[in-house]
Amino acid sequence: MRPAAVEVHGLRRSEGRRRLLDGLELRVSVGARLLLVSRPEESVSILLRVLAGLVRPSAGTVLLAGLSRADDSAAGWARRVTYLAPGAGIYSWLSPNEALDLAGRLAGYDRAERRRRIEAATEHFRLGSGVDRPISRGGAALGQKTSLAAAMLTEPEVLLLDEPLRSVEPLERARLLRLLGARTTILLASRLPASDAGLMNQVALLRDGRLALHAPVADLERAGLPPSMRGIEALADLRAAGLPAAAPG
Amino acid sequence: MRRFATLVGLALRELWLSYRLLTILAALVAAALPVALLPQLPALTLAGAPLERPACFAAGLAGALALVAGIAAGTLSGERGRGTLAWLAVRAVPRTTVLLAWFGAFALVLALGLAASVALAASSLDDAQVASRPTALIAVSGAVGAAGLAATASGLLVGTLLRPIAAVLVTLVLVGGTLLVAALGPPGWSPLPAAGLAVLAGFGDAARPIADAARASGTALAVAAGLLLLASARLERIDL
Repeated sequence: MRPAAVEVHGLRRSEGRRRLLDGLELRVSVGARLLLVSRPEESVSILLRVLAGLVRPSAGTVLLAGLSRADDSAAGWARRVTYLAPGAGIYSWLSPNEALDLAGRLAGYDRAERRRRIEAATEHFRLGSGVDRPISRGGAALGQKTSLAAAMLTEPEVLLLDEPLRSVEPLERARLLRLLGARTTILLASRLPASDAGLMNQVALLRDGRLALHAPVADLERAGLPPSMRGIEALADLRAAGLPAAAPG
Repeated sequence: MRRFATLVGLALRELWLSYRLLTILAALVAAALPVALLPQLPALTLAGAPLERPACFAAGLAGALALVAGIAAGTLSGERGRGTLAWLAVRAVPRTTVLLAWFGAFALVLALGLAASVALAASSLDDAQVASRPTALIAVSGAVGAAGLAATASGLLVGTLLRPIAAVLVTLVLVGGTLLVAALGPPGWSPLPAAGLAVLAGFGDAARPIADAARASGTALAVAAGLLLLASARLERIDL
């Protein structure tokens, strides 16, 4: 068995009376690319935010890249685990270059190392000629691309993506998501799984806060099911009923 | 420390580009304009007594400091809502460090604006009041600055509790009310964290202004520290 990049045990979290995570158990191996979907939809977002340390669970434990909690040293948590929210979250008056420089500073890189990594990220993610102009002039798409480049600046071991790059044109979005390092473990929360399933190799469904399915994406194809929410739910139902994965007839 | 300096710089730039820095400086300087520009203040009375120049200045500063506190509240609350606080938290920046960076940025702007305001107002006070007691004036200005820090810390605490507009309004009412009572309230009574304004209001008649200012400064700084501790504890617990 491959070592785990993400381990979640007994995770619980409610919003008002709704149980979004209800004793969730999940293990994701190193290098996996996991597509996360859920009913209700908010469950996967809250899971990623818990994993990122932005939201406290009411119970349960989390291990990410072998760490049990945020380590505020530059060499620790931030370099190994990162999270990308649906919005860019960066000051829009910063230019992409400045945003990347800020991310590098906060990660504790010296000037030469920052310059090397920023040049690589700018080229890798094709941030274009407007890297010195405010992000606000490039629109939401540039903000999200910059945010992804900033997230990848530290070459994290675990990347948590919550509905990323929705403002980016679909083909470019697919290209960017394919660029993420092969050694990086990726958890991608999606409300449109059909557009993301091709980029991932595993899929997990959370129902009422519990893990209802965790399977290779290829199992959907083998079962003759589409990589949509309906298809993923149908596969979970087949598995729950103990039926073979292959679709009858 | 380098990371803290980076965050203070970021906060100052955000204040500058959003015109909040200019608004704060303008409000603090405007507080001194009536006493600086009008040879005769309007015949205002308070509780039957004429409103003296120092009291008028103190009242103006109370309004300006309330505005600073309101802006601080809206700023921190807005940082949460826009996701910038989360962006920093994901990069392992402790939330308390972000809070202290914003406090530091506001303190720098406050110091600059207050220095300009006091310099402007001092030119209009009686020569006897200022020339003979410059140390006292500096001490009293420090006490007003400390009151401003306590007001800013109050705003940051409210900013961790409420959404931006509600945070601004609640802070303006609570902090503004407290500061105005201190500036214009009955002699000998003032809310402790804002006592610097009371010392300034009674500057012309104060027998021991330096001792009073030192006491007011100490109290205000202790209250500011306590409020920042509360804000930090709250910030560490909330969802981003």
